[in-house]
Amino acid sequence: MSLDARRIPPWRDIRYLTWTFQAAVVAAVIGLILWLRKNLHDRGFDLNYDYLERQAGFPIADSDFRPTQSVRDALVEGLANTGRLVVAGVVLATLLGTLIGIARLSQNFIMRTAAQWYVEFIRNVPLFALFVLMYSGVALTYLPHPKNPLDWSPVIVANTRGVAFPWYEASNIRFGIVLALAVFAFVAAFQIATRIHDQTGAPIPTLTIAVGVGALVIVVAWWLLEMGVTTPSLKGPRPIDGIKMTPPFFAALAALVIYTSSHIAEIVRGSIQAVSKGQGEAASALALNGTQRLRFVVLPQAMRIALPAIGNQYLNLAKNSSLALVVAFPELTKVTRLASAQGAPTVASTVLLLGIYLCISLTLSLFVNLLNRRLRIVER
Amino acid sequence: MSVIDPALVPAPPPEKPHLAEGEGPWVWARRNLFRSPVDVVITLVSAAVVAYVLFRLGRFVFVTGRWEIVRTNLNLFLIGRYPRGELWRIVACTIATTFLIGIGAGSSIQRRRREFGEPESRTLRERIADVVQRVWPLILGIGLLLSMTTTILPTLFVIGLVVGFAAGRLLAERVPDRYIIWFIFVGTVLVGLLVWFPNGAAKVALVIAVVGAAVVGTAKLPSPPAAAVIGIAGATIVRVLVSSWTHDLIGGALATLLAIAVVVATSLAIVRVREVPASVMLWLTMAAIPLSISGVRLLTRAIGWEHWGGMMVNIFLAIAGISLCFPLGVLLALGRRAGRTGGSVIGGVISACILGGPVLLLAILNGIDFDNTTTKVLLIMSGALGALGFVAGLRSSLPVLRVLSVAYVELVRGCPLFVLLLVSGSALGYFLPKGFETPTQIVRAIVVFTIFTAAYIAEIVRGGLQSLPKGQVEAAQALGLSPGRTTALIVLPQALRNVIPAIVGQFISLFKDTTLAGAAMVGLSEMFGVRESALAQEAFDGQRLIPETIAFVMLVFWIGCITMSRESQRLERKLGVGTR
Repeated sequence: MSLDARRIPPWRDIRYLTWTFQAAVVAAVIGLILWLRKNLHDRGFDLNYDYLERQAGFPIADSDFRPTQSVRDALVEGLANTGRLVVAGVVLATLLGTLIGIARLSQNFIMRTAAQWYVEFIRNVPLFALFVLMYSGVALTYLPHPKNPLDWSPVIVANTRGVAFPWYEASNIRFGIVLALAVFAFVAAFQIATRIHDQTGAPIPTLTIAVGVGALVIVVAWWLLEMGVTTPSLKGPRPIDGIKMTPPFFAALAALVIYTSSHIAEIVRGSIQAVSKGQGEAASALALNGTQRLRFVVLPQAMRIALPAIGNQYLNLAKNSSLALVVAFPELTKVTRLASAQGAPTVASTVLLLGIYLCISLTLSLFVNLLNRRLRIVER
Repeated sequence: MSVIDPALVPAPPPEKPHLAEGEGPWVWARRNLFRSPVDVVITLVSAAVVAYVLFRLGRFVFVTGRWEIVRTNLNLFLIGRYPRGELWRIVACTIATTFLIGIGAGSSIQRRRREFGEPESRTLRERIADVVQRVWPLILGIGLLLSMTTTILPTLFVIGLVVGFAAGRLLAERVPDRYIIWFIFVGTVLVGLLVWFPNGAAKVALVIAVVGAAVVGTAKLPSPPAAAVIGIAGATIVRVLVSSWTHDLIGGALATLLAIAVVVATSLAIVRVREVPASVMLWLTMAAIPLSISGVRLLTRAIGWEHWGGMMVNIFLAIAGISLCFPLGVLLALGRRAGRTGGSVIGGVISACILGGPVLLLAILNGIDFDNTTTKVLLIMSGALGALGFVAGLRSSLPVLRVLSVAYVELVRGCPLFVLLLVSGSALGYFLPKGFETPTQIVRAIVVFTIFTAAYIAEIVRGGLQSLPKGQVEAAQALGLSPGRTTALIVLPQALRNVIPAIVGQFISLFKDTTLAGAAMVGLSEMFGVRESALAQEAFDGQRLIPETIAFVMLVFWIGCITMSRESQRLERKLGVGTR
């Protein structure tokens, strides 16, 4: 069969087709944008961000914010509230989720079944229902009335105006320094102890040593930097001093933690079960005891599978924090809506709000991707 | 005496090792509850906690709970303030849907029987036991709801649903495929004509003419659907020419045009296409689009969307969102991998311009003034979008498609659904020209759910597409399949099968997130909104009935979600996900 080089007709030539198709798509998108502009122009749209410098004109509950401050400060306060919710939620959800996930694999029948039913129940219930339940059903119903509050000062003080715990009394920067020093000391002690153990083979409890060193550093740094502790007490109906958790914050945190921890429990269970049984049996054949088997063989492989999924759950938690506005917690979305009610232009503030959530999501997912890349199995 | 070589006799299989001396409840207890002293303590403590919780729960449900609010307001919870006289529309649509699902189930059973032979027969008792074991939460929930109703009508409705499904399944199991396809086609056209041209007396004449023409057409011509098309087209022309021509001028003209178009298209199709695809599922899917449009028209012709309420709204939002977002998500996933790799930097530059350009243009039009907050914000946004576009379009021969898909997915996934619902009121209005009124809440909610879920489905399907070995596509190319056929016949079935658990999980999330629509939009009363208004009624105000209402609504959602997740696990096992 001879192949003479006939010209391919344009309607079958892939190069023409590709670029024509793309040109058509670009034309359609440009048309859409122009149409959008025309509609926005007709409706009097104005992408103007000068409203950020205006006075806010609304208070934010349970904070130092005054209505005379600018809208930008209000948004920062809302963002700080969201940050508190997300950070506390991530830490608590991971702890609770890991515990429940391990309980689901326990050899005890009652623990296993109770954890299974708990997870099956929470996972199949809407998050909104949990928010409503925690707020109306728990926070407002079961917390004691201000007339006879729960007064275990200095440990904990509770009534329907809030729950207060002891907290550190110093600037945030000092607390950050103490935390950073403690983490650094923990990691350094762990590395040194592990290296000694690897080189000499002596049975050194590396984890215990590292925890002890970390605690010691915390105490020393606390004393050196002259940080104090505030304990809560009641002044009339309001808890003062210490750190206060208002009912909305408590309800939002409880709902988010319960929901996300059930998802994390499923992920942890799935990742531990995904590690093949042969690994555990080989570890037993090498005379590693239960804890060593978990720590050196099963958990590293399980974490590789679990981490992207857990990172995804953190992202979901950050985005679900916007639901806290139904329990009257002044986080970012609620503050934006308050500002809009006071006259900020809707479209501009909407774009800014979505942009901030986008930044949070993209940053978190960037971290998760970097961590994932470090832990990934490098294949041929 | 038989001589058997011992070497040829296989050794009996080793006995299963027992963990303890014998079997029995005490052995099980030792293994599961009392393995060690620490275990004994754990057992006792957790047993005490669990017993206490169950006791409090049981007491709440059966003794101290005041369920009157749920009993009296059951109608409100389930269908809101929908006028009772128009309920037949919803009943008709639902039963028709279960009938079609039954047809789909029956035809797949028939196909499996053709390919794998008759399955082992099971007694009726075994089948019932199997169904009960599969969906016992659903049966329990429906029983609970029906026990609280006052009339026989809801029970009749549930029976009607089951009968519809069973009828569809039996029909599709026994009857050959060709006639099922013919039936679907005729039925779709019939339903469309009945809904869109509802003139009283002409309806009866129309039905007789259509069915008669279809029967006549089937007997003479080779391919049943083609024959049905020609028959129905002819009947429609007759109808238009004979009756109601003067009353309904526009409708009649439209019907004539439609009939002519159908005849022309079908003749072309018969001449050009060698064989009509005979897959019932394909025709069912194609018929779903005109059927849903007719269904929506039937539902909204007399009553607007504002009268919908209760659980009906949740279910409708979920079904509409799921069916609309799935094609869009698959298209986005395919678009994200569009083009062969080997493009150049130019692709990246083009994409950066496409994404960042409009915002930059906006900034320039507003006037570049570096003290102005507006300018700073817009420049930052255009820079970020441009970087995203550059990275996305870098190595592709179809950079436009790729960058648009990537931009859509990444931007939509970064936003919380609740915020999107909150702003949908104002934002959607900007997409429509000035004359249009803003759409009602339900339509807005459906649009937002579709946009949001499509991005998640796109990511999930992209994962599935990446899990496919490249050899499959190369083999398809070696066989001479075009890119369209490769995607439709080779790539998509395997990719979708691998990610079924993730997709069904996303659908379950969508069902749960329909509660957010009621919270975000004023005036959309789905189940939680109904809960609020029920609590505010005079008879129940101030009685702190919050736990009862929350428990009821949570129970309904729990039943729906756990049924779906168990069905998805069963589907996974049946399709062999993760085993090959």
